[in-house]
Parts: sequence; structure tokens; C-alpha cells
Amino acid sequence: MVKKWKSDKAVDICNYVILSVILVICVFPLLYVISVSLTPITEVHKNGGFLVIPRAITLDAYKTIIDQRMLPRAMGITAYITILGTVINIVATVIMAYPLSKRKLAGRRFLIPFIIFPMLFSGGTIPTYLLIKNLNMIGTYWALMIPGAVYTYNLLVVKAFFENLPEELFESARIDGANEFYVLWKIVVPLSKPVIMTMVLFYAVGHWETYFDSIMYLPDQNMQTLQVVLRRMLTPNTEMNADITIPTMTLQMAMVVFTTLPIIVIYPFIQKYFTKGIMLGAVKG
Amino acid sequence: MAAMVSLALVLTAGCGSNDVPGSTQDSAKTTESTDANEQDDGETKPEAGQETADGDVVSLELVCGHGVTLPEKEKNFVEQGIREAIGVDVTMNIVGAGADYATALNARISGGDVPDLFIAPSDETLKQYVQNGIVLSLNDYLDQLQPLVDWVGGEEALRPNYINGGMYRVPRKAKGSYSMPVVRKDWLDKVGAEIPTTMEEALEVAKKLTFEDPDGNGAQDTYGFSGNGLWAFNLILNSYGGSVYNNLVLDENGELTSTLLAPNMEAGLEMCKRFVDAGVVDPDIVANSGDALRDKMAQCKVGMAVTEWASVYKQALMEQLLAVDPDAEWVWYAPLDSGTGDRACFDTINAVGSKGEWCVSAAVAESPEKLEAVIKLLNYITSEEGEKLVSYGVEGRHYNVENGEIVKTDLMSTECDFLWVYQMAYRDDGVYLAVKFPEAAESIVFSENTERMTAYENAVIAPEGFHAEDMNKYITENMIAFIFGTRPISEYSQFLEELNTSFGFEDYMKSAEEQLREQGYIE
Amino acid sequence: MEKKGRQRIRHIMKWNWQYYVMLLPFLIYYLVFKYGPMYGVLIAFKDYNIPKGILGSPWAEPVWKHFEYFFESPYAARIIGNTLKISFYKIAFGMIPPIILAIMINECKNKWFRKAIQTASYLPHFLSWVIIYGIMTAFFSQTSGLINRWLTQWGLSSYPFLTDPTHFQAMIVGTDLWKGLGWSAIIYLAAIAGIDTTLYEAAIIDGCSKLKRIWYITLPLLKGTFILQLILRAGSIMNAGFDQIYVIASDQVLGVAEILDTWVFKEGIQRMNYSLASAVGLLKSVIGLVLVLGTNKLARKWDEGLW
Repeated sequence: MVKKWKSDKAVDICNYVILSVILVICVFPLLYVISVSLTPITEVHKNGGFLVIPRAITLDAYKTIIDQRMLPRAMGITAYITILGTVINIVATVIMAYPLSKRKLAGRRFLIPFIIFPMLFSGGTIPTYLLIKNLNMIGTYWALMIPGAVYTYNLLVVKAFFENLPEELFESARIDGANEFYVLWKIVVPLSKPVIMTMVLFYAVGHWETYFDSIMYLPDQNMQTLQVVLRRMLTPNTEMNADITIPTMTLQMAMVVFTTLPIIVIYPFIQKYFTKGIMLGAVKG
Repeated sequence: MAAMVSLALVLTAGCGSNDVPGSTQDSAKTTESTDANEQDDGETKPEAGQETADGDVVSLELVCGHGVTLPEKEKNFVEQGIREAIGVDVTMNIVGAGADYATALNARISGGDVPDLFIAPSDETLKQYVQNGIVLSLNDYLDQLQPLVDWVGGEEALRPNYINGGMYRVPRKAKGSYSMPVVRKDWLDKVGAEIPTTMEEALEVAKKLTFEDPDGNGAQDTYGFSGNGLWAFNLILNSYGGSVYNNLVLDENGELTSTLLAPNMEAGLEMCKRFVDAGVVDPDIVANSGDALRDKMAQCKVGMAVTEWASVYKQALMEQLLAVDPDAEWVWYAPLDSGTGDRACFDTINAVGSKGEWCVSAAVAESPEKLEAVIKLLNYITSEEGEKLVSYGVEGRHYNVENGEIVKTDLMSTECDFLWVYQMAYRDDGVYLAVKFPEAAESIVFSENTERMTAYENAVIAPEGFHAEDMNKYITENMIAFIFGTRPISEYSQFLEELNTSFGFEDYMKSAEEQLREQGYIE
Repeated sequence: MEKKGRQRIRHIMKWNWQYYVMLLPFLIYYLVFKYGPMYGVLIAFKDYNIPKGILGSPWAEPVWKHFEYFFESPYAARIIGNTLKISFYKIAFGMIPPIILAIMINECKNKWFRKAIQTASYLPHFLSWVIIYGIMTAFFSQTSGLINRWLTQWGLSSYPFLTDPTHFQAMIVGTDLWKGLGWSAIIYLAAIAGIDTTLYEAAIIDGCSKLKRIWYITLPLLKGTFILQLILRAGSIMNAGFDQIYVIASDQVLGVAEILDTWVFKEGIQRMNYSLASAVGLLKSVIGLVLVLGTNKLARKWDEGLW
């Protein structure tokens, strides 16, 4: 039934070739990162400063990271912020994006500029700090989750996705008397899994890497997030007090492997939702 | 759905409480700030709150920005030691570092919440704090702080700490100088050269170390001269009275001048250019980080390096340097003689090294107990016992005293790397470092005794409206151009002219002179 | 038909209030958290004094003092030029490749390979610029970099990739593309995954080749996402990538790499001249606003505007 095109084959081959090149360009430097993090610096020197496949392996850099004071605590805190924060983000973004995606929404012409405007003009860190202080959120984890509950860029992406869903899909449900919350929850959300999972990824990564907000709003040493603890190991130690044995770059590379691992573990679950297009027909039927 | 409802609640709650303080926050004065302090203490540090309730122990919050993570409060032997010794519950909060620290602290202060003791992020900000009465002048308490004053070096050391007649900084001891030039002695022997003492000798040595294959691998892959950053050329320029920076120094008549105006500056630049033209300079020299330089040293790519003792002679680092070539022998040498009659010297020392970093909140004076606690704390960390605690840790665990000398244990390396944040009045740098790094003791002494330029720019605030960073950038760009030959050195006087016309260099110098005269550094 | 239309309008009106119930909490949220602190832009017109607060600080004399200070900098023209140039290159060379990559990944039928390329291409996003600079040094450094070692082994002379101003902007754009390519493609992948598969099936039955299907089905449906990205990117044209340039540009290449944000960081934020930082920020915002309005107006001609 389906006619195979000759050109399709050529396209496929080109596709694989180009993708392979991209794969190499991306993976080679990453291999370098991993191998530096695993190789004793002396071994790197012996090899003239560059090696992709480690010849001798040491876990010293990772040990230094894991032995870092406060690290388990900071990881727990960051995981908590990431999970709870992302849930808040997703709920807020989806509920807000849905009405805005309705082209017939009265006042849409003013509402969208209203939400875009703050992307361009922001008051800066100090007024934001004062606001959060006045809300009594300083020293609480809410300061890291509520003020950034909706990220306008992500909101617009979700809104654009919702706009692509044909309106007719919802009609039958409405005629059956369903309200808009029901339509959103039962029809829109299941159809929007790809974009929602993308947002989970974007938001979660943002929380996982939170640094500046943590410095600003969590002065207590016992409440620091992962990045705060990790980055401290990298501040140039001008006071020359520590016995540094591992070069900063090695440590940094180990650190990035260490912090990125959880995200890499999550990614396949998200990828799953990109593999096949949705079947609008099935929903309509 | 539940999450959404709770979110909405938080939002409305937020709105309500926002209305009130939003309108009054700018008239908020000390009353609110003390409120905020108490509130904060109660919220974030319940254990500290309990102590104050007991009425025995006064708590102090210290805030600074550094690259260190402290142990958990209950494991922090310094804070415990201080508490046992003087009955003050100190809590150090480290808030980011660098510009992040400044932003976080400034935000907190604009919210009226001033920590009891904190590091002032810059001279300009401290001035603002002073004008608004946020920091405490220690003038009235100097007699009570006598142990601190004696320890830092008496009245003379206090001088840089005055602003408008008040001592707003906690005075401190000066930092030592760490920089030094080093050379591969084993390579010198191989190519038949001596440790250089003059510029010409150094150039010859650098040539030999570049072109005579000192590592004997048959490839021309070594560079005679390297360092981290443009700064490395100060090994040459400083001995001509010049510098790649705008360092403010006193000439032989005691008049303030800039190294850019040094009579032999052009000759110095010529010498730098001769190094570059000879092909002996590492082409990455300007972009090199400290680690990158050490990597090159370890990989046997560099013959002479401008660096710090700490990058070479710390034990662990020395092991790295010897990994590839166990025969590598790095030796330090004295600043080079330029033959122009200028004093042979390298690098600068800060003329105002005892300018303190820490300041005390003015609100402390409102509570006699707190004030007493601050005074006790500052005197304690400069007492014999307290100095040992904040320098070396706990006796018997982190160090032992053998024949009156302090000898570190292995635990000092692993457990004491955070102590220095409590050294609010600094330390006897040379002694301290020699205890921590006994293997590098000789190099520490050598770098302490190296001839340096005394520089005054740290006592100067750029006049208002002056593009200080732009001027520094212009100087850097032109120094690179002169040294690497993209601009002829014959245009040096033209460059100085441009500094005047485009950046107002002369105005800067005039203002600097006034400021230094005011502070009593020049007559 | 007419009757149906009117019914439809009434129908929509009926549901509109529900949309507003959904929106209301978030509009309040925007007012509080995004508009609330906006009075902070006043700093640009004041001599900001930290303890006095924003409203308590005295007005600058003249009010445009900090703007004047910026434009009086001998470097102002160069900084603006560099910012626009780098930003423009980043838009010109950086916005299309993620779409192509997303389509290519989507066309890739081998599941294993598809997963590999997807994961590999998005990983560079997680490397901070400090690490990327470390990688760049390892590959491009003149004395020890891998590429220069190859060059010299082949009898060519080494090239100062990292210190030569003539090609440094290409270095900036190239590394930025490398870092963001896979990550930016994710949005397009999600958008492609949202396309109704029946459209493709119909096209295959009609005998459309793969390229035609991409051209006539996939691309038009990605238009909305693309234009959204373009409008937002245009709005941030004055952001040429602070994190990147601050880390990877050494003094030798500052002439072509210094941008507004790095200048403001050194002159404003590090020296705690928040008024200056805010003034430059305001300039950037105004330019961004004009561009957002402009591009959106253009986009509306194709019925793809944001509003």
C-alpha cells in the first residue's frame, strides 16, 4: 500500500551520516570530561595533557565531592525543592497556559503583553528580596519555589502547544456538560504529555541547579542547596589554606558528572513521550 | 488540584502582607531592623533562640562570603571553642562569594536586617553604610579592645581603618606576599646555564631553555618563559620601576607617582618585547590560569615560570610536578637586575595591608550584652589561646606543641580548612603558613623577604564619574599591544596622552594624591 | 450556518468566565511577583544608596546621569557593536539548527540510535561555561591543545584559536551552538510529537516523499514554536551571553568580546554601582521591548503572533 520512494532512502542515509557526525562532536568532549574526572592528574601529565580513554582510574575527585561537608543534606534539600517545586511549576503553568491558548478569550490581546512585559523589565534583585522578605519567606524553601512558580518562557511554549490542539476536540465534551477544568484535565493534559514532560525537564533542571536564589534567600548554613555547597569547592582558594591535591578542573568535571547523573537517569522516561506522535483520531473517535 | 488551591492561598496571603510593609519599608528604621533580626534568629536558628532565652549566652551572627563550607553547627569546634572560652554563641553564615555575596548582603541590609558582624563588600559600600549610621565606630571602645590593637601592631596599623575619623573596620594584620619566579635547575645544568641575576642573563637562559631542547626529547616543544596572565611580565617591568598595571607608588622624593609614568617604563617594555620576539614566551601566557601554568610545568613545557610558592612547593603539588620527570628541580630566584639603576624587585605589597575587612553593626551598641560579646570575641581571637584555635584548631587533635613549636597532625589538613574564615583580624601569615605547610617553609621565607614595590592604590577610591574599569582595561589592552608588538613602543608617550584625554588619568592621580594626603600616607 | 455561528459565540461567552477563574490567581501572582518589584527600575534614575533603600535614595543629578556615564565611556560604541554583532550571529546561526536536528532525530527510525543521539546532543547543556572553557583549552590551546598538536604533527603551524581576536566571535557562536543545540531541539521534538500522525498517513497514501512530508506537514506545524522563539530571542538581543563570554574571553580578545553585560558586571555590579547596572539594564529592556513589539507585528501578518 505504501509506496517506497528512492529519494527516501537517500534522505535516510544522509540523515544517519549527519547525525553520526553530531553524535561524535557531542560525545567526544563529554568523554574527555568523564575521563579527566577519573584520571589521576599525574597520569594526564604523563600523556602530555590530553587523553580520552583513561589509563589509570582514580575516584579521588568523586570521593572529595562525596566527603564534602553538608553534601548529603544539601542533596536531600535540593531533591525536595526539585520535586515539590516542579509540581507547583507544572500545575501553575498548565492551568495558566490553557485559558491563554484560547484565541477567543476576551482580553487576550492585553493579557499576553501583560505577561510578556516582565520578561523584559524586572525590578532587580533587591526589590525582589524585599518582597520575599515582606512575605516572610526568607529562610524558608518557599522562597525558592513560589516566586518562580511560572516561568513565562515555558508558559508561552505550553500555550503554543495548546494552540495547536484543534478546538473541535473539546466540543463534544462540552456539549456533554463538562466544565473547562474537566476538559483541561481529561482531554488537554493527556494529549499534551510531550510538552508537559518537556516542562518537567526544564523546570526540574532549573531547580536542581538552583544557586543564586539559595544564596539570597537561605542564609542559614543548614539549608544550603547542592550547587551552593559544590561551587564553594571551586572558589579560588586565595587564602591558601587547604591542601588542594585535585586540580580544580578535575574536580569541576567530576562535579558535573555527579550532578548531571540524576538528570540523565530521568531523561529516558521523558524521551518516551517524544517517540511517537499523538493520535488525535483516536480521541475524536 | 490541591496544589493549586494551596498555591492560590499562598498567593493571596502574600498579597495581603505585601501591602503593609511595601508602603512603609523605606521609612523603616532601626526599630524594624531589630525586629527583623529577632524574627530571623527565631526562624532560622531555633537552637540559638533557645540559648538567648536562657539568658546566659549571647548570640552573634557573623556573615561573610567565601568559598568554604562549614561543618554542621554541632560539629563546629571553633564556634564551640569560642563559646566555652568566652560564653558567646557565634554563628557564622557564609553567603556565596564575590559579587554574589555583595548582592546578597546588600539586599539584606536594604531590608534593614544588618548582621552583627560582616565583611564589607567594598570601600564604596562601606562608605555608604557609614554615612547612614549602619556600622559601628570602634573609636569609643579602643581601650577595651587594647589586646586586639596591640596584636595587629599598635596605632600605626589602625590608620587604614578610619573613615571620616571613625574606625569602622576591625583592624587586622597584613597578608604576606606569595609570588616568586622559579626556574628548572636541572635544565639549566643540562644547557650549561646559571640561575639568572640580570635581565640579559634571563633572556639568554630563556632562549637556551626554548631552543636547546632541555628535555632532550628532540622536539622543540618547550617555552623558556611562562606565567599566569599578563602579570608575569611584572617580573621584568617591576625592575624598571614600571608595571603592567597602574600601581601607585612613591618615588625617591616621597612623591606619589604611577608605575605607568616610571622613567624607564619604555625600556622595560622593550625588554618584554625582546622576550616575545625571541620566541621564548608561552603564547598562551595571557590566557593561562594558575592551574594551566602548573600543568605546563608538570608536563615539562616550561623552563622559567612566574608563579607563587603555594603553586609549586606544597607537598601534593610538588608530587604532581615530579610525576612526569622525577628529576625536575624547581628553584626560586631573586628579582632580576635591569641595569637601569632601578631597584630590582618583583610584585607589589599592599601599603594598607592592615585595612580590615570586617565591620560591626551599629545596632550592636544598643544592646550592652551584644557589645560586650563583640569586644570579647575580637579580643579572644587575637589572644594566644584564641589565635591558636582559629589558626590551628584543637590542641592534641589538630596540632601538638613540641619544644614550644606547633606541629600539625594529619587531621589539620582534613578538618581545619575552614578555620581562616574566623580569622577576623587575620594572623601571623608567615608563621601560620609554615605550620600548615612545613615542606614549603623555606620558600615562604624567601617570598616574604623578596624585594617588593609598595603600592598605595588600595587606599584610593576612584573619583565619582570616573571610568576606572575602562581605564584599567585600556591600560591592559595597550600593555598587551606594546609587549606583543601590535603597537610600537615609540607610541608610549602618545598612549599616556590618550589616558589623559580619554580617561582623565591626571584627575585620577590628583584625587589619589589628595586621598592619600588626607589619610596621612604622604606629606 | 448563521444560526450556528451565533450559537457558537454564545457558547464561548458562556465558558469565558471559567477561563477567568483559572487565570485570576496567576494574574495576581504576576502582579505581586513580577510587577511588584518593578519599581526597582527607579534605581536607574537615582544615586542608589543601599541603606536608604530604593525610594529613599536621592534622585541623580541630572536624572539621566547614569545613562550619560555609560555613553561617555570611551568603550560604549565598541561594547554596543560587539553585543549586537554576537547576538545577531547567534540568532542567524543558532536558531535553525535545532529545528533541523529535531526533524532529523524524528526521522531516525532506529530506536537505539535515536535515543543515543538525543541524549548525547542535550548533555552539553549541563556543562557550565567554566568546564566548556576547560574543554576548549584542551582542544584549542596553542601550546598544549589537541588540534594544534595535530596541526604541528602534520607540519602546519599552530594557530592561536583562543587568543586571536579575528576569529574569536566565531568561537563564541560555535561553542554556544554546540552547548545549546540539543537542548533547544527538545522543544521542537515535543512540538513534532504533538503533530497528528494521521496527517502523515494521509500524505503517505497520497504518495508524498519524505522531504515533501517534512516540508508540507512538519515545518508548517513548527512555525508557531519557531516564531515564539524568534520573538523572545529578538527581545533579548542585547543579551549576548554573559556567562559564556565572562568565562571564555581573555584580555587578549576583549576588543571583540566585551559585551554590555560583561562591562556592566565589571563597572556596575562588582563595584556595587547598582544605579549604573540598572540604567544599562533599562536601556536593554527598552530595545528588547521595541523588538518584541516589532517582530510580533510582523508575525501577526502570518497569523502567528503571540497575541
